[in-house]
Amino acid sequence: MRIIKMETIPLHLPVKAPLIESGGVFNEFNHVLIKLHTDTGTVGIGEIEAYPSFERLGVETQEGILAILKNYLEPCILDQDPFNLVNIWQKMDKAVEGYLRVKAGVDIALYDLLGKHLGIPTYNLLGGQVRSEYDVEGVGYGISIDKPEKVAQIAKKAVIGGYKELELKGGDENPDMDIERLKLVREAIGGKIPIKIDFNGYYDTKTAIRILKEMEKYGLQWAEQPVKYWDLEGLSMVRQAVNVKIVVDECVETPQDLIKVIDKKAADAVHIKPTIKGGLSTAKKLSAIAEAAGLDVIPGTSAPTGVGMSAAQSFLASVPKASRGIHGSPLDILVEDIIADPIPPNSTRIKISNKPGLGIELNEKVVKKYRVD
Amino acid sequence: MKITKVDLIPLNIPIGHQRLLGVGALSSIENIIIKMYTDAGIIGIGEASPWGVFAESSKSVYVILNNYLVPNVIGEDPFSIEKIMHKLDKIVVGGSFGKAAIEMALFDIIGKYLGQPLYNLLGGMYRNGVKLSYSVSSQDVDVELKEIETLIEKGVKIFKIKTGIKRHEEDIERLRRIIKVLGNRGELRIDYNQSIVRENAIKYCRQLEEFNPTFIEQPVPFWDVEGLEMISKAIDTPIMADESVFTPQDAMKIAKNNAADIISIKLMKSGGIKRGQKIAAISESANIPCYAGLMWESSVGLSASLHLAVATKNISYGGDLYIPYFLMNQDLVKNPHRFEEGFVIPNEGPGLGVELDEKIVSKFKM
Repeated sequence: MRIIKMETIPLHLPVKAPLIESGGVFNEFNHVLIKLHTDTGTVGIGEIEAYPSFERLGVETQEGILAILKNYLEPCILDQDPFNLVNIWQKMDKAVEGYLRVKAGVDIALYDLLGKHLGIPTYNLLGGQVRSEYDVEGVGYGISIDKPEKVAQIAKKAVIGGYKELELKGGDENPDMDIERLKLVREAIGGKIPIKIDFNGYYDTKTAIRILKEMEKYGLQWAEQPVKYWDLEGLSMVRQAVNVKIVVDECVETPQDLIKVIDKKAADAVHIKPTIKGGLSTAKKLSAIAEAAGLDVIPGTSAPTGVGMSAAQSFLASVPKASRGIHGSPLDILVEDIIADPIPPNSTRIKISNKPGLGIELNEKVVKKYRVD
Repeated sequence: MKITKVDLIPLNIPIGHQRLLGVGALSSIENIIIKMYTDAGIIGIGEASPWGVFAESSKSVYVILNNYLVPNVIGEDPFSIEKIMHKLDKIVVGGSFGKAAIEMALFDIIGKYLGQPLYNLLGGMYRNGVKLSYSVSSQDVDVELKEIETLIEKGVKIFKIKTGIKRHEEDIERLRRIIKVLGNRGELRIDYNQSIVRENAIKYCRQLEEFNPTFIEQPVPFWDVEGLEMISKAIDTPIMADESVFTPQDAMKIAKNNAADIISIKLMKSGGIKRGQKIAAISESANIPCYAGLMWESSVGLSASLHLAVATKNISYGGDLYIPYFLMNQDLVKNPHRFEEGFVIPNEGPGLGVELDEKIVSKFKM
């Protein structure tokens, strides 16, 4: 089997409501879909997310993604046997340094291809299935930063609707607002539901320690990236000072980054997102390192369509110990999903597909509707 | 697909001559072959290669397999490797030798079911073959020199000299004579198998640097990771950890402390291919390359290590692949992998790619 063509399809995807994080607002998503065609007729699907660069290092524009794929990565893929994942990665890394989220899209498409070719779900190429369903971490891609009353209302509705874990977005010019949000949420939903607040690297060390200590009183189980992604010493200080479990996300893009985090004793858990951190190949390595160092693994997604979501699900299906669920249906945030049989919106518990490859097929009509080339 | 039955076949395999290593003596090989049957008609094979002085004895491995591990894989789906291995971890702590045998049989089944050689399920053929290293351990220099000469003619290019049995001065003399014969026809490596006391290790290793070995393996006892670190930092020659690294957690410890320059992955130590992969990933992230070590496997167990080393970029120092080719009097398979110009090249058949020679297996049955 050989890859004969790489098709790239830029998409513009409108959202139902903006996602408000500490760094800025997402009003839309601009992804690039990849289709790898082979001489056997099997097609592998992957996607790469382009979003505003305030989010993190390594975000690429849609035009940039298309250029990197076409000019640097396509020559590494054409005529290759998709089984040769390690070789293909070496070629990609020699062709261009970094761009892990672009390479992630290629990696995911390769895994889809292999699964479809072999007639097995991709998780059977990752060590087999450990779980077949999961509780969703609600709501949407995290509850947007907003007035505390509004956030509490959304949280209350979510818990009534069946969500068993929640994520709030945090990081505010006025740090006390973060405390107020959690306070009102707890008043609305009680203390049982585990909550993670994702600060997206907003605070300095002292402020982070102060507010997390306050938040402990109301009940906070996880704090993600409370301080800047590059400040591992600061993160370690925060971790030593509070009882809340510290999760790294933006700190860790590569296995080498994770070793550094472990070395600095800066985290209790690592958020592993196959769609942006070098695909399923790298996710496997990250989870091996985390496991050996006693870190919790939190499989996750960034802002996928059903394509990227299925890659995260394949990873989640095969990870021996996952400390939280992943985000719910892309339809919680996107106006339309690009896959056939999308996950219904407001799903609080999701079954992982056992169809071959990533387990999804595209809805070509929707793809056509949102493509921008 | 479900596992229906597992047969255990303990063997006693004769070898050419007794081996003396830093950790103990070897006079014959007591491996256990496993045959794993499924309801799909596919049979997977595996091998445990115990050695009491190193970690586990053949009798204890047999009991662990027979009484604890095998009963808990019946009925499982062979694809669910992580699930099965985690289940076995809850039943027996350690027991990596038996677990490795079981896990490679699972991979053999998966490969056969999918019609793919195992390396294609582990990342593909990153390298065409793996460099074969032969371990020189009769401890009689005249015998060893003849052995080396013969093996050079047969295409062996790497010789790993087992040291630390005799006095250090004798090892030096022995190495001088070996290097003279070897010349530039082969690569020299040294393995102490834990036999130097810490206070002499740096001095001894420094003196061995005269022979320009590619690496010096496990100078001090497995538990003396601090000693290993001291030696690695003092010596220019790479120091390889073998007995100090069994599990991914052990590898993490070495990686965090930069306590070794190379790590030897043995499936018998790690408890299988998956954990071998994890060790390779941990080591790679810390810029530490790996080696495909073996215990005393025939081509059955060797196949598992071979496929892993072929598909894993970070396992870049070759492996102890000499056992079925140059140590055992007879191999256990009909179709060993090709040995050519110093490299072992994997067969293209599905799974492990080798077929048991039932006549020979019966002959060596205990």
